[in-house]
Amino acid sequence: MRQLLEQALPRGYVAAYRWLGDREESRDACQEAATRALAASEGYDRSRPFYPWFYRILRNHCFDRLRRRPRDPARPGLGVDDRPAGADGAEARLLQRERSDALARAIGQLAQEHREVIELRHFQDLSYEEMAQILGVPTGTVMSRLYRARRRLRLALLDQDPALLGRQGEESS
Amino acid sequence: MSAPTGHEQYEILLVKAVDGQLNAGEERQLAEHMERCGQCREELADFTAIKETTDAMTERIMQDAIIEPPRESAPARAWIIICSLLVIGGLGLLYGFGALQLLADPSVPLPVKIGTGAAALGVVGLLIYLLRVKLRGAGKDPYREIDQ
Repeated sequence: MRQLLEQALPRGYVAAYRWLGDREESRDACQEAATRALAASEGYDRSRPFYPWFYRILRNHCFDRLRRRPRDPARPGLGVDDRPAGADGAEARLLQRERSDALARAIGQLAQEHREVIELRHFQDLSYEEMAQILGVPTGTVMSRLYRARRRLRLALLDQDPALLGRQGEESS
Repeated sequence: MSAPTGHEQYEILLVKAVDGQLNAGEERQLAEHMERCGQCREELADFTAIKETTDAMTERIMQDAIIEPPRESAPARAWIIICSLLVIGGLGLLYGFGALQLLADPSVPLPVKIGTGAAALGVVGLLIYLLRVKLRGAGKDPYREIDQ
């Protein structure tokens, strides 16, 4: 169990950070979720993949933390590159940050079911089967939701600025 | 922009293409379709760009993902400590009783008595050392708050 946890924690941190938007709090949340997972290890069915089981514990814990927080409409945690653009490749970094921020906003505006598949596939790198296990829907549904979610993101970014999708010759000034 | 009729089958292939999950047959099927479907070509390029951006975002978050795994829960640790104390105490009692009997027995040669006494002292010394290390480490337990 401890070995499985060690492997799961970096990926869990990404999930926690996406929800909580704070590095320290995300680390705390991961450790607390891991402690809970150890305490509840008898409930884990070893014939099934470990990460989806741990992910549920982590998600519940992070949502508990979010519920305890005062309401913040800024939805922290979606934009990830808060480092200054600096002198090293400043232009490329700036463009990358612009893309990340725009995409983060677009993801934040998705419907819950679409946002969830994007989080699980793009940020958690879960297989379609693992996603289906977490969401409790068939694999085919996972894939069609993923298609619709990506299409919505694409349209949102195209509406904003085609250069955000790396389209050459369409960069805005 | 609405998709042409019968287009739905390619949506799944597009999803798998972005995720690098196509098998050879599906790859061929999608390539043939994309030769005549500009919408799918554009979608694939844009979906791939989105995936690349989220991959970069994930990579940046992962740079901070150094998390120590937690120790066993407090009850589990207490259980391990109790069992360890029982083993150490039981063995110590047996060894101590045997050593005393041995030392008190006049028929046992002196070198055997000295060896037994030295080994007993060594074991006690090691136990004291381990106990000191354990106590020193207990004050710096980073997971204590979490376990509580």
